[in-house]
Amino acid sequence: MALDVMAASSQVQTMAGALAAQAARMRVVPGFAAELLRTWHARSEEAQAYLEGLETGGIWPFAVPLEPLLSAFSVRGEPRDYAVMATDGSQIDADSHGMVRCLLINVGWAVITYGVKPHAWLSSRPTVHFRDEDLYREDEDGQQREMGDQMLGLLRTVAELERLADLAAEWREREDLVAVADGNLVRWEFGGRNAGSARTALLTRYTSALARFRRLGVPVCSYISRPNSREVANSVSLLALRDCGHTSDRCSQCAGRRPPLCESLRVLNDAQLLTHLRSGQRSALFRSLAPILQNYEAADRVLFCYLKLEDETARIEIPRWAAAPEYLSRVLSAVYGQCLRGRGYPVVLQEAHEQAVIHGPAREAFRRLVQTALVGEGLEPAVSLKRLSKDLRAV
Amino acid sequence: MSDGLVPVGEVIAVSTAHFEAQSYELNQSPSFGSLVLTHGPDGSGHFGLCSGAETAGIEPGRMPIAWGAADDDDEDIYDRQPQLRHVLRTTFSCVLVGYLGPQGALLQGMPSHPPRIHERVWQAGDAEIRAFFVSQQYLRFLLRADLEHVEDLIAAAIGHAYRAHGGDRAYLVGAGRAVARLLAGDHERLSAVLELLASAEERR
Repeated sequence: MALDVMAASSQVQTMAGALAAQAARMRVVPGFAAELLRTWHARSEEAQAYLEGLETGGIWPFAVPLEPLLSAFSVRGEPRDYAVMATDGSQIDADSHGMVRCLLINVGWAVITYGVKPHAWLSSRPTVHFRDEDLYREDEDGQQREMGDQMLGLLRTVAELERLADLAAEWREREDLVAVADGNLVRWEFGGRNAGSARTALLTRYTSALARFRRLGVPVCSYISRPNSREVANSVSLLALRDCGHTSDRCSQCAGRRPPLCESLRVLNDAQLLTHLRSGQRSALFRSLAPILQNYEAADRVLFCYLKLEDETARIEIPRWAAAPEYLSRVLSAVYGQCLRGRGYPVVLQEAHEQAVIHGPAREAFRRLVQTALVGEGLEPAVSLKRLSKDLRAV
Repeated sequence: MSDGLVPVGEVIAVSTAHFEAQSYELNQSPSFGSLVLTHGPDGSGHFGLCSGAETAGIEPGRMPIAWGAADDDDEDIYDRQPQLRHVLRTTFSCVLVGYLGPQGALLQGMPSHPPRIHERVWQAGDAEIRAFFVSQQYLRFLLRADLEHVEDLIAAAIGHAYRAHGGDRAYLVGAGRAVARLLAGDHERLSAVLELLASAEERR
């Protein structure tokens, strides 16, 4: 047996006990948070000014509220006629133990129109990357190294947004068009202290693709299901610290509590904090302060809000220009309408995902395709012994 | 051979005595028991009897689910969810019952080769039906094909042929006699078919 379940069981019990103890300690936190939200909702301009002026929130990311904290706006019902588009991607990884180093990225897309002429366009396109510049990058020492999984994931992310921008260009004549990306528009992973030239180049491609939507006048947003972000919680935590008059990390309201209540707010994520929202309502808009956004064009820097659905709260990220009233209403109506049609998740994202996903038999077909092509050119595909041992699992 | 006929689908799977086709139109398929035909560029032709239809997701693992709720408007679900036309497909199964012989004769019997995949499937018109069903030998194939609803299929096939013969009672009686000869040893099945044929005559 590969896993010694008995040995893990006592540790799992310990974990459950620790979680229960933590839950008991944290029982007061939601009430404390609700009180804070009410307080600072009434002092919204002060909250915004204070958070704008902070140079840093410490190690925790936070966001600036652009509307009072407990704002709740009902999203208008989707229009009868509108068009929505989305892309998604999947990959077959470069396999250094297989026949050849190559990466296949499959970008799937869906364009769906509703109203007088309902229709759907669903398709996908694969690209195969095998050249050194696609698979290797220069590290800090100037050495060529294989790109890791994270970098290959970024390459895929860029391909998805570029394809979505291409679709937006094709469809830009439609007045009621909304583009939806999967995941974040705030791409934290492009940043970091030692972002090398490859990562920077990918970031430039990403921000250029994002800028295209603005130039086309096609509002774009991204949709995150079950977000775990805590930027609003961190902002509220910072506001709590301000109020207690201390600048250190000790709050006088809860002397003796470890951790202090204001820090304990961080056990809540934003979705758990914003419990005032009803189904079909959006929260206040917030401005993300992620450092990576300094690399985005000013009009594309990302705002976000939360959208309450029947069974969950989703996060919507949107470039600043698309959060203008004439676009924001269109975007949110479309996204909410998509969620209602899609039993809680946007239909267009579901279909884009289905077009992108590569099932087992297709992966095997690609592998055979590579093998046949190599043999056809007189090349001998060499499979590493490590790969063989994994495939055979000999006894 | 297919001039003036309506194309209904494309062959997607073949075996010796059977082929399967995907309908061009979602939720449309040839009627149960109706005659369809294919023909290849080499002049070959095959005849099949539609023995069943199915609508399901195109991708493996995608199951149709209920999208609506009890109190929805009557708006067509396919307009409300336009992507459904692209992720569902209707397929129909056919028993091979004949082929195009020399000089274009329509022959009942097992063809030497099944049709090719991706050949178009046409709904047979009355003229082709009358020409094909001059005899009832095809009934042997149906009985051998180990089909679930063979009594219903036999009755439906005869019913289609009867209507193509303009409701000629003599044709129906002749077909009934052929069934009686074939199923002489299986009284239960024979009764079932004859009852179905009787109600086919009433519906005419």
